[in-house]
This record gives sequence, structure tokens and C-alpha cells, in this order.
Amino acid sequence: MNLQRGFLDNRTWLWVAIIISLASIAAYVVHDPIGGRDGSTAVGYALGGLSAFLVLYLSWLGIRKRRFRSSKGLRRDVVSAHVYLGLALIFTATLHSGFEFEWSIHTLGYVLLLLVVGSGIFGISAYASLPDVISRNLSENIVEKKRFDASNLEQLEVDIEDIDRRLERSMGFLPDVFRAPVQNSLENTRLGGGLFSILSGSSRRCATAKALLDVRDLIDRGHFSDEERRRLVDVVQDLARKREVAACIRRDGRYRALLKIWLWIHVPLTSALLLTITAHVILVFFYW
Amino acid sequence: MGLSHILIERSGQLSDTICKYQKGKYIMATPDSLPLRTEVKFEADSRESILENWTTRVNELGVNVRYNSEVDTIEGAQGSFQIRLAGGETVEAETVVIAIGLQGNLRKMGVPDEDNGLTHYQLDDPKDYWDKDVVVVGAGDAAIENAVALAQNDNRVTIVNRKREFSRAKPGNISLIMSAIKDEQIECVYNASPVSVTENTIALKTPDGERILRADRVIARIGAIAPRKFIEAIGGVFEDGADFPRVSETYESDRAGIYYIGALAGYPLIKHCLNQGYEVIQTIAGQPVDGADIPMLAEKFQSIAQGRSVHDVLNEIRDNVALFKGLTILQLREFLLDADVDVKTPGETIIRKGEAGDSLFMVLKGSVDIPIGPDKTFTINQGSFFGEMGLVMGRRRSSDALASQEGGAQVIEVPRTAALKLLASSGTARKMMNDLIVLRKLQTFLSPDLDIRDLQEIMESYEVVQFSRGEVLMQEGADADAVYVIQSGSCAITKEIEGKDVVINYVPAGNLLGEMALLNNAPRNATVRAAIGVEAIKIDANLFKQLMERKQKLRSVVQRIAEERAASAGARSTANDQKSRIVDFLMANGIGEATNAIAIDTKLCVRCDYCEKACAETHDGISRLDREAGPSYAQIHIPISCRHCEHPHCMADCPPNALFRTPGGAVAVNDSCIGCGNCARNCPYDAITLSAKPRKRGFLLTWLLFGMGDSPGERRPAKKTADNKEVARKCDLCEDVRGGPACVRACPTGAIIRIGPEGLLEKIQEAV
Repeated sequence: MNLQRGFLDNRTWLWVAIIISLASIAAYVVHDPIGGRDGSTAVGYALGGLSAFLVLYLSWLGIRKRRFRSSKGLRRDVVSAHVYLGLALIFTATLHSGFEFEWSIHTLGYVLLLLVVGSGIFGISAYASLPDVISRNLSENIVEKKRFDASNLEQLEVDIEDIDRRLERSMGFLPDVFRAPVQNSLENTRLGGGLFSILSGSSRRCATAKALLDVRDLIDRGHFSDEERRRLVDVVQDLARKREVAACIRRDGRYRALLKIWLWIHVPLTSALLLTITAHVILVFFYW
Repeated sequence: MGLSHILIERSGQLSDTICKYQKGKYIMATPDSLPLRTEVKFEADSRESILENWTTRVNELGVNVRYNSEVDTIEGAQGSFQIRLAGGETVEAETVVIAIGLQGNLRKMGVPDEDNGLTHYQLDDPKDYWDKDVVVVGAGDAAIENAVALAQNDNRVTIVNRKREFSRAKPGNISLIMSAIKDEQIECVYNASPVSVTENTIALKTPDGERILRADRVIARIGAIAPRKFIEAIGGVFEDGADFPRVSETYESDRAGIYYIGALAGYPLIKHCLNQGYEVIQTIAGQPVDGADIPMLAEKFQSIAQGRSVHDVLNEIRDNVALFKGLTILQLREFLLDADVDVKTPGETIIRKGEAGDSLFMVLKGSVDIPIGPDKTFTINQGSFFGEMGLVMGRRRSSDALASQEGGAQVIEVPRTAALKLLASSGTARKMMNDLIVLRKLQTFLSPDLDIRDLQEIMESYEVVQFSRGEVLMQEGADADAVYVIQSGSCAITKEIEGKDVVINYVPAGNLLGEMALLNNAPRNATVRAAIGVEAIKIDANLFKQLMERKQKLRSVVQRIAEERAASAGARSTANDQKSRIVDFLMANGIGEATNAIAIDTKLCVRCDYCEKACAETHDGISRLDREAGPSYAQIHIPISCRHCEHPHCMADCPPNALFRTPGGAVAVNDSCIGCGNCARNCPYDAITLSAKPRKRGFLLTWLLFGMGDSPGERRPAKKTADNKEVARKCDLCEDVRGGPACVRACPTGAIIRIGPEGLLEKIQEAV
């Protein structure tokens, strides 16, 4: 279901972008000057000017989105414009280049622009798909919220703390062989880590998963009193729940990282792009 | 003034009641609007400084005080009273002013060995106790405050409640004690009463038999009452059901020459008491003065007085305005202090449709027109009132109200708290209000031509009923025995489709429910449940049917309504399971009582927290929104932020009345907030926080060069100081920000909306 009009639903900017792209292609095709199509023809200058203007306008979003007091419309619409005009840049900039590439600052500008737009496309797809994935991952199927003022993630973290306390207490009542795997789960279950382990979101080497296997294995091989069996059932249940919750938190970390990581490329490269375009323009006009 | 006088005090000190307050207690000087007229200064301050100030002043003025003297009886008559003291001495006086309050007559437990020293009836300083077993008896404000303070000082506290729940106390204190019990800081024994005490135990009678608790101290806070025996012995008269003796407008009792002031006369506020003392002494000295409120009332009445005295106007108001009929002139004066009196020119707008007002208007003179159709108007005549929808039901104004074209109108506007006080204190007023609500509801629903005579039987037999959340008002398939007018709260209507309850509609306060079944004489076609606490007026179905039979014209009106409703119900019953579960979720989370809540579409939310940042940036660096917290279901997330409830829980118990509803519908806090935290505790949605203002955000250069402000992008938690107090901070719907709520504008993906329950349900109906 669709409760809201999202940032991709804005048809106006979609059409503006399509018209800009089609007009660029038409101008490029129709205008065939002597000496070939490149950036130094009339159409080339026009496309270059347009591209430079678009880059400046699109970069302005970074400042504009932080102006919280300004009442100029919804940020959602600005983002729509950003998305669609950014995509149109692929056409205007490529056609501006006239497909002349060499090892120079001009081509560097073009490559940077493609990287910025490319990271932006990644961002669009992340923004369009991940929110739902995050909500499904942290849905009421796994989160049993006990406190109104806690977030789903906080609730899961509290759940793990509770389980850990129970596991720690249970160690006193269990046969000694179980001490090592339970201790392993308590001490070595990692939920974060470095950039790559967060981005992978993998639970393949989860200490709790390992502990669960070990405990089950030990139960299968040993003989225990009824009392011990009862306690072991609880321990297995706790470990299983902890494994599930930990995996869920790791996935959540991965999705949230993906929502942000592209900005680490998009934003610095935009700064580099602005510098390169400045250099490109100065070179073209003063040192031709 | 040089009058010969004697002040007889039972205890060894003056202001005994205030001395017995908890140490350091902050004492308010309400009502703020009332000027103080005495020689003794009194401003809101701590218990200690007020006492010190009073003692100094009493000494300076040379008041003749006789301590440790208790009065037994008063004999004689005006001009020569003989006041007999406990020691047998007699004091002669021409007039007697009794200002003993109620605290001298604390209610006792009435159990054997009560006076063995274990039991105290007050708590001077909770810090006197540490690591002790303390049993607090009582369930009122004093008992709760004491119990909580003791628990905070690491004592093991048990509170003994005679009843099943805490209902007598202020809502703020109730939530305080409930959370302390939940957190196991305090143990509570319900349905229990003390039966005896020993040196270090107290025995309780509980439903599970007798229970003996260890106690290093028992603190009994079970209220205070007017010493009826004493008052009646000296000629005071208690009217039927009254808690206080009767007094005249000059506070004179039924026995000439004896005056009662303060709590004993029904005025527990310190400022009232001080003023009354001044006024009574002036009267006795033969230089009577008007009450401190009279000049203020005179100013209020300026536009309508036309040279008449305040007393004449007061009498006129009481005679003209039906709701005031049951009040004494003293009560009316107190009440009108909070009200506004206005003369409206013919055709002038008094309220506008769609505004979020919650005050009540009374027509003092002239009449008021309420347009209800293209050329239909409804007239509200002199003495009647309007605006009750906003007050009672918390709804926006349902129509305009204009002063009559002929002659205009004089209206009294009564703010919400004062109006609620009136309804609470006067049964007559409450009944009158309900009568009119029923009458107007039936008039708007059926025909404006109906009058009170047609509805006589209905008016005499309706009853006001309460339903708690989830309770069923009417069951699908059951016989239709009654029609309901929802007074406050809201209801969800469900229908059984393929064995499942499917929500098909949501009905807010102000609507008529259950009339359908009466019209077509069929059993109920849907189930109606209270979505939140509901108060409804229940009208007997048979009377309704008889009315229809008598009035043929009504039948056709009703027939038409029935057909319209059947058509719209048909369109809605295509509802599916998912939809009804979402509606259930919203109702369970209190969206039913919201007027403007945030809903986040989790399919669009990229968790960037720009909503929170925008909120903080537009509101002193403190976000009033916690995006991540709060409940979610399917793709709807309700973050923690104010929903601007129809009947705001936060407003229930605000000492300085700092919370108010703006015309735009926001529940906002003004500068008079004292930071007591009652609103934050009362809010069931945790939407109010108490905090001081953080420092100004630093700029990169000033921070780098001079270390001014916080580092960019960082805000240190605010420090509270004397000037930077912690006060209540909550969403104000960005009414002072151009472009509306910053949270909504700042969202890059359009995930966040602000919406009321009706709008949200409509969206869900469309979307699913």
C-alpha cells in the first residue's frame, strides 16, 4: 500500500528531466558543425553551461536541506528535483564531451561526474528499497516491545542483555562441560566491528551460533539428570533467541550502513567535481 | 489600625500548617491574578523563606499572640463574647474571627494504641528517615508525596490504601505512585485498613486476612475535616451535604459577630485567606472594603456596567445565566475572575468554524446566531451557552457563532479550566449542560424545530455512562435498546465479515450512535467499541421510537439519513483484514484521541533523523520528537511526539496553568511553566520532556579561536541554573515557524505526515 507520495513519485521533475535529456540529444544530433561535435561548438558550450549550472544547483541541496527555518516547500520535492535532474546530467555532460576522451583534467571532470551520479543512483536504489527491508527485519515478528519509549533496536539490545544475565546465572547450575560454550557466547558475540564487518552483516562466525551447536552436541552425547535437562532446555532456548536477535541486529547495521555509505563517496566526490569543473572552465577560457 | 485584639493559637507557633509542610516545599501563590492586600508579604517561595518573612513581619507589627491556648466554647453574643479556653480562663471579645483551617483537625486512624508514639500524622523532613521500614497510611496527595519522598531516601516504604485504586489524588501524583509501585520502590497494600499498632508493627485488615507489617514509623495522612462539633457548638450551620459552614458575603456566620475565613470557609488557598482576613477586619472596624477581586471585576464589567455597581451586575449575571444559578455570590465572584465579559456588536463573529477553542460562552444579554445551513440559523438566547463541543468533547468549533443582527450580544467567555471547575462543583450546572447537549444533538440530527417540550421524556430519562477502552457499547446482532451521544472519546465500529471483526468506521466525540437500528427496527448491524475512554449519554430506545411515532415529519428525515448511511456503510465494508489490523493498532496506541499526530511511512523513511534535527534547530536545540522510539505496525510508525490530544492529559494538573490550546489547535506551554513535571508524568505518550536550554550553537571560527560555544555539530547537554530552569518542552506544531511543522518539511523522502485520526484512517481506507 502507498500511504504517502514519496520522493520518486514527483512526475513534474521527471518530465523536466526527460525534456532536458531529449532536447540535448536532439540538439546534438541536429547540429553537425565542421570539425566534429565537441565541447567547443555552440551546442557544446550550451550543453556545458547547462551541465555546470545543474551541478551547482544540485550541490546546493547540501546547504538547502540544512536550512530548517526556511519555508520554501517540502524537502521531498527538492530531493525529487535532485534525483531526476541528476540523472539528466548523464546526457547533457556526455553530449557536451562529444565523446572525446583523453588523459586530461577535462576527462577527469567527466569521470568524477559519472562517479557522483553513479553513487547517487546507488543512493536512490538504497533509499527506495532499504527502508522497507529495515522495517521488515525489525518487525513485530522478532521485536516484542516492552517499553513504549524504546526503539525496536534498543529493545533487541535489552533482550540480549537479559539473555546474557540469565546465561551467566545458569552457568552455576550446569555441568562443567557447558561452561566453555556459554562463556564463548557471553564474551565473543560481536554485534558491530569495522566497516567491512558491518557492511557484510554476516553472522557466519557468530560466537552464539557456535555455542548453540556445541551445547546441542554436548547434550546429545551426555547423560543428565531431569533437573539439569530442564535447565539445558532454557539455555538452548536462550542461545537460539540470542543467535536470532544478534543476526537481526547485524543485518540492521548493514542496512543502515548502506543507507549512509554512498554519501561518503557522493559528497567528497562532489567537492572534487566542483573544483575540477572550476579548473576545467578556467583552462578552457584562459589557456585555450 | 490600633484595634485591641488577641490572637489565640493552639500550638506553640504561628502558621502551624505551613510549618508542618515537608521541608523545602515550594509554595505557590495562586491565583496569580488576585492582588494581595495584607501588610504581610506573600509570594511564591520555599516554605522556609515564607515562614521567616511572616515571623519577622508579625513581630514588627506587634501582634498580640497567645500561644498554646485552645478554645473550648464561645458564649455570649455580638458585642460581648466570652471565649472559654481549655485552662479555664476566659477572654472577652466583641467579635470573633475563626481562621483555624482544617489541619488542626486531622483525621485519625481510630485504632487501639494509636497514640503510642509510633504513628505520626505529618512528615517534617523525609531526610530524617534512612534505611527504615515506614508504613504510610492514606491514598491522597499528602500520603503519596510523603511515600515517594521517603522511598527516594532509601527507606522501605509500604503505602496502605483503603481502596482498590488511587483516585482521590491529583493525576500527577497518581502516576508518580503507580510508577513507584511498578518499579518496586514502594509496596502497596490495597483494600486494607489498619486495625492496631504496637511498638514496631502495624496490623492491617486485608481481603486475604490480617497482615502484620514491621514499622519503624507509621505516617497516617488520611485527610482533615472541618471540626463540625465545635463549629456547630458555636452556632455555625452546615447546609445539607456541605463540608464547610455557611457564611455571608462578608464571611459572617449564622451567629452574628462570628466570622469564618480561609479553609474553614471553603477557601484553601493562602492568598484568599490572607485577603479575607484583611476584609473581615476592615468590616469589623467599620470601614468595610470590597473584596480584592471587586476592582478587577469592575474592570471586567466596564463594558456592561453602565454605571451600575459590581454587586448589581453580579446579581444580574446570576439571575440571567442559567449555569450560574446554583452558585453563591462568593463562588460566582471567584469564578468570574477567570472569565471575560464582552459586548459584541450586531453580526460580530464570536467563534469561527474550525478553530480549536475550548472555552465556554454564556449569553448574558441579547442573542447569538449559529448558521447551520445556507439560510438556516440556530439562535442561542439570553441565559444559555454555546461552545460546549470544544469544552466537553475536545472537538474543533463545529460552526461559526455571530452576535445577533438585532442588538448584538453580551457574552461571558469562560476558559476551559474554570468551566470544568464549574461543572465539577455544581451538579445543577452539569445536568443543565448535559440536557442541552442532548437537546442540541437531537435538534441537529433530526430537526431544529424540535423543542424541549417534545423531548420532555427523553430529557428526564437519559443517563451518562462511561466505557473504558475496548468496552462494547453495542453488539452486532443484539436488540437495539438505546441511542448514544458520544460526549468524549471516540469509538471504532466493527462488523463481522467471514468470522473476523473488521473495522469499518471510526466515530469521534460529538456524534450520535445506534440510531440506525431504531429507524429500521432491526437488530444492531455492527459492533461499537470504545477506542479510548468514552463518556456517552444513553437515551432509551423506546422513548425515541415514541417520538418518531408522534412526529410524522421526523420519520421522513430519519428515513433519508438511514438510506444515506446504508450507502456509505456498503462502500466501506469492502475492508480487508490488513486494514482492520492497522486500525486496531492505531486505536490501541491512542491515535483515537489525537488531533494532530505524526505518522511515518516506514517504506519511505531512510532513518536520516532530519525530522529530529529540524525540530531541534527550530526549537532551542531540543528536539521534541523521538523518531526511532514509539510503536510501529505494518508500514506505519508512530514516533514519540505530541499528538495534541482532544482532551490533553498534560493539562489536567498544571499548577500555573501554563499549558493551553492555541487557536491553530496546538497544545503549547507558555512562559509561566515552573518545571514541576506534572504534565510529563501525566502524558501517556511520553511526549513532554523537561530540560534547560542548551548553549548557543558554536560557530567554527569563534569556537576555534576563543572556545566559544560548543564545537560545531555538537550540543552539550544543557546545564540547569537559576536562570536556565528545566521547563516542559513539547511540540508546538511550529506555529511560529513559517511554512509549518519543520519535521514534515525537512523530510527528504516525504515519509512523515502530521494528521488526525480521521485523515489517517481515510488514507488507510484508500491505500489498502
